[in-house]
Amino acid sequence: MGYRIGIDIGGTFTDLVLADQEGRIHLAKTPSTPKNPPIAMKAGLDELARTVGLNRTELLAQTDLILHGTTVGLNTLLQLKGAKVGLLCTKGFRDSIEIRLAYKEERLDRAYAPPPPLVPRYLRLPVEERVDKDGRIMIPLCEDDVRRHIEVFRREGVQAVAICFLWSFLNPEHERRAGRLVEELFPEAYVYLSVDVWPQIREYDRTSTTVVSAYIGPAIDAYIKQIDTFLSAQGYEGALRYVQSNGGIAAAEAVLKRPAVLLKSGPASGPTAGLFFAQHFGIQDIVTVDMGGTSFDTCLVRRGLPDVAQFTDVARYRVSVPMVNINTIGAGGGSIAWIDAGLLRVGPHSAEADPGPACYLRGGTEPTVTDANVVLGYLNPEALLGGRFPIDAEAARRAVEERVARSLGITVSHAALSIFNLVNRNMALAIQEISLERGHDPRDYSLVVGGGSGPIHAWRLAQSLGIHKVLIPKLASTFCAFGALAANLRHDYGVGYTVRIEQSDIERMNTAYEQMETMGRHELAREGAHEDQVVVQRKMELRYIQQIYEVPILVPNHRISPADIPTLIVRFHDEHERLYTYSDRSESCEVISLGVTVIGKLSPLSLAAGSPTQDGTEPALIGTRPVLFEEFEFYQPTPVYDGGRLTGGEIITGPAIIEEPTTTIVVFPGSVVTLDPVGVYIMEQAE
Amino acid sequence: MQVDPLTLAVVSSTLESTIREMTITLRRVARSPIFVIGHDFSDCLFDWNGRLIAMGQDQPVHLGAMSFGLRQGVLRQFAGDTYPGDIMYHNDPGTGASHLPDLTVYKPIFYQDQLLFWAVSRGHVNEIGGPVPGGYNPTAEDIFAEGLRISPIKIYERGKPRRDVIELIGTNVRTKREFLGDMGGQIAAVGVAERRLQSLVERYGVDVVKASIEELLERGRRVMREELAKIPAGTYHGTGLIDNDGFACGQIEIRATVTVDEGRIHVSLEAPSQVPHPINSYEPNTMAGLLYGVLSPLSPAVPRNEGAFSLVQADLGPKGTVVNAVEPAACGNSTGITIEAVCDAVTDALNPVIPHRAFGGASTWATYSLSGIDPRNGEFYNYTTHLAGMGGGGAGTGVDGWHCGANVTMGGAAMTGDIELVEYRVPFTIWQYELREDSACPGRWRGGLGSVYEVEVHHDDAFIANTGDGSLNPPLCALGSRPYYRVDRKKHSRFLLRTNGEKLYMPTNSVFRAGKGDRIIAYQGGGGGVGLAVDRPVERVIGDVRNGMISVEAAREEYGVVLDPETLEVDQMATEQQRASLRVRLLAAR
Repeated sequence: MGYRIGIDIGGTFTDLVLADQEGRIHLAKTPSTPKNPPIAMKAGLDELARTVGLNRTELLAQTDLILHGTTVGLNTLLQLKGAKVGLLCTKGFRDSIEIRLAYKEERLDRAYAPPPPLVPRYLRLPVEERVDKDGRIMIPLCEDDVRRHIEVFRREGVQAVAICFLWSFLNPEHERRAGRLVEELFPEAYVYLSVDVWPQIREYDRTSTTVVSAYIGPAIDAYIKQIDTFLSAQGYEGALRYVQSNGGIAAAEAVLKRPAVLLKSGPASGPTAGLFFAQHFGIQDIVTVDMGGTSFDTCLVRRGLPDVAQFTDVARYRVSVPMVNINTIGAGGGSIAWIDAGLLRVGPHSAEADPGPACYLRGGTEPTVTDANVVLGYLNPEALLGGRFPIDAEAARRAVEERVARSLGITVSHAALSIFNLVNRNMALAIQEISLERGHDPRDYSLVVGGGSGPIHAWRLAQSLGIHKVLIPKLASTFCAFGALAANLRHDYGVGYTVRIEQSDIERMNTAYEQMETMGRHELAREGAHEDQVVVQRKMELRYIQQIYEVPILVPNHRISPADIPTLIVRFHDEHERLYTYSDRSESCEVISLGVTVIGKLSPLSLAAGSPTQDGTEPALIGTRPVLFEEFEFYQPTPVYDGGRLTGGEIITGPAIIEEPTTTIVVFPGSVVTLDPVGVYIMEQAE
Repeated sequence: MQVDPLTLAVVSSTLESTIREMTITLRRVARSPIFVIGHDFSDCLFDWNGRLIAMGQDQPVHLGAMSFGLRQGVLRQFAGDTYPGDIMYHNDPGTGASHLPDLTVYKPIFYQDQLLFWAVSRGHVNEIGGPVPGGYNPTAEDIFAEGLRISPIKIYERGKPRRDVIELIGTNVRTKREFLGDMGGQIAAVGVAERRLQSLVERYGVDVVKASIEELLERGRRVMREELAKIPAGTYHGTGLIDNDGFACGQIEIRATVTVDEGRIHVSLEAPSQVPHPINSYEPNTMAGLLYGVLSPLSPAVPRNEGAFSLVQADLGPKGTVVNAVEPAACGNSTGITIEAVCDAVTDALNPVIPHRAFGGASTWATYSLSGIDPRNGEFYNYTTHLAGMGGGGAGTGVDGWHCGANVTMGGAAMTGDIELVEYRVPFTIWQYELREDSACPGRWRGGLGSVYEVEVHHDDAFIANTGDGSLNPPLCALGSRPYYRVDRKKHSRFLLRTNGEKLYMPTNSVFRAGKGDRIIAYQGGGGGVGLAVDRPVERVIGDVRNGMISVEAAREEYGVVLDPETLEVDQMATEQQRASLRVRLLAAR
């Protein structure tokens, strides 16, 4: 087996992580080149190649798998730079993506504007046809309508056609026929069918998801071609897989029909990375956090499964495919502290990379979280990134004093501590939203920390949530690239089936499960997964009769029989009660949809792999600096360690600071940290 | 006691996140489509003195009104009789609630036997008994004909449910299962609030939390005072209209006099005597509309708490009027109509004074509920199409109105139901839900469009209760926008299409019966605009024409943009002339 490389291209940095034959890990971090991503990729590959003593071509020749997370889909949507899309819909319903269920996010702001529809009304064209709620054809498809509309699309320069008809998920005949007509008469256009994207009840969600797919699809297709061309030009002959929004990976062919599954490619790898490290220590329940320069991502992983959301608004556009439920807030090293009519606030605005925190001396004057961390002594007052990036502690101090301390009438150090604590508070609330507010007690979870800024704040976050164990990988700052490397193949399928559970047609359900499973196994086989590496999970979404939202429960992996139904009902009540503190056991429930997830396990990385190498010949304790902790009234001289010189097994009791090349770990008073030889710091309450 | 800045920020964010968590819980657990899909519910927190300290991104119609239910209802009824584990329940406007379908759950939150907070959740249920299914009885002459009145009662006493009382209430509504499901959602929501707030007090102590809340209320006052200081001092007048299609009493005019002076605002209202129709508004509901009218032009960052609201003084005039109703006035429609007219009157007064935050009114709420026995399972159902086919929202300076955005006092967005979910749930087929061309009022920023909503009934003996307003008067238009309707010159109109080809106009407040195969078509009007239509950029007008939102004719007659009907090319010369002459006419009309 050769090398395996994970590549995560973000807005600011392109991160690469390589696992070699012995399972050692090597990192590369280069600035992204958004206009031409392969340039950064090339630079990163060069850097990686150097670390293993090869050139780029040799490296790629010895690599057999590249795993890639990309924000191209997300950025296309955020910047509204997608394709010109035409929509074919059932006559009478051309406006659902513009009416958007009349959902107004900021209801108390009377001047809040609606988002522009991704397809303007003149390109949303109605087709005479109708399928009823039992899947029967009420009105046959008017092919002339389709042909006429195709002419309009061609004339208007449409690049991608989205098709979504009412109830098509119960009977896709009309949608498929219309799709074939487009392929036949307008072969140069991309075509996306709602039944391929996500065949489930909810016309608005299905239409919107199909439209988003069509909007970002051509850009994703072009991107994939660009990467393919680049890699084959470099002589690469191994496999290339993409990270999907569900955290799993897939071949390009599998995602191109439903590009919406790539929207969270990138951040979706965070939980995979977290889980990889946690499982080494036998831990299955974790909260992952990733705190970078501008934002904070957090996700809950329960029993080894990342929490997955079904209805998500991305940039205010509804996307209903399973996405790892990552809660993102504007809290990062660059988040700005400000005074809002006497109330201290931190974020969501960020100084970003330019001008950056005041201490960067690039023209920033607003105090950021990083500035507060410099004032408190948590960050090195002279330089970051292992000395490569000089900073000015006095500028940090000045910004905190002028913009915060003075208006609140407090000292600079009190102000810095307040900023530090408040951003922690914001992050803790973001974690509460995905844990406590969804019925999960964070005290039962361990925290796995990623992002360059994460390890500074990790212990305080853990304390405020009652979390006892914190894992900080040395490669925290390349968390997602590593997550891509550790991911498995995964595909989610769903099919709408709406019926009261005691009246359900069990054969129909068994058939649906088997069909989805077969489809999944087939896809995995094409992607090279062996039969014995495939794991299948069956799900059912249930709700009380007349309830509006459903609750997913797991279903046994065998053919179900009528005898299983009472067990499923009990499971539903239990889950409902756990989630919402309330259940009604005198009542029955109804099925909304059936789902199957197939996972193809790749050969696992061995965790000897986690740690970059170090020889341990020089002493790790490199000095002390004054640091302010809430527990003490004054700055304390605090030992500072060079993480690169720790060999593993050392026990460091707080207060202490550990400086790694791309991150800093603050060991707070009352906590103790040990470096596991696999390259993970384990932080716990001191005895 | 001086509160540390960080503690203050923590207390403030805990209140906000508690509200958010209540909202999530409620949405997930409750059952009524109007409640959950329509987001017709609101959550609030009050302090030990019954002062509002936090509220959610919910219905303005509830939010300004919920203090009254606590103070005039619950606190009076249960003075000295409030214990940990109690949960109170209430809907009667006679004791501080809004209208009967809005059910409110109150939970006193204690810490070591000291009452510190009230968590309050109000939501609109699908059914509340009475002679007409669906919570709205257009024929009601007094409140007794509108459904079950519930004065403040306990549904939980010291942690134990009072099953007999809950059963009594459930027995009085047609959709008991759904109704009790909604109640369960509200109980879960206030329970979640109790857990969060108790742990806050545990962490910081009673004194610090109390001092923080005083400081947050003071901050509300301070921010509100600064915002009000931006409004030029003076006295301003505005009007809101109710047309009362279907009622004998005819049009009603509500007048507001708004005086702004030194960081305070005073609003007095004038309205005719209460009428034997369900449009009378009791004080809490009127105050909600008034308050939202005052808050609209201010920064959305004004804290929604008692501190800020204390700077708004109101005089609702004598008791016994349409805006200050007394028992036994019927009031079912007041939360959709009268409140909107009150809000319009205040907005109309302030629009010329704060032109950079002027607003058009929404096309007034008008809906019908459809009920009967579902032939698929023999169960009674009620569906309020308040969830579909709303009228357009009003524009604001700088933004066009939301399509199907609905009432201003519903936050401009009472959400509509997904077509497939609705069809799955109720026995009818939906044939159309689309925007309606030329339905919005033209302006530099035009109103949002209204819609066409058409359903086919699947069974005989379906009962239709039409309610609402807005088929005669146009929505409020601001700063030179003017109303314009091509279709029948009617804002809203509803028709019953019989299978025999007969087409019946259904007045806005009326009851009908439909049979299998009959269709109901609801045309909904659009919202009011802001600014002169001739100032709308030509390319935006072309865009609207191309998208079928305005006609070529309206582009010429209203916006002064002359287009070739085939190619949509602009005739520059003709456009300049047309815009110049329209401008003269529009300015003269102002």
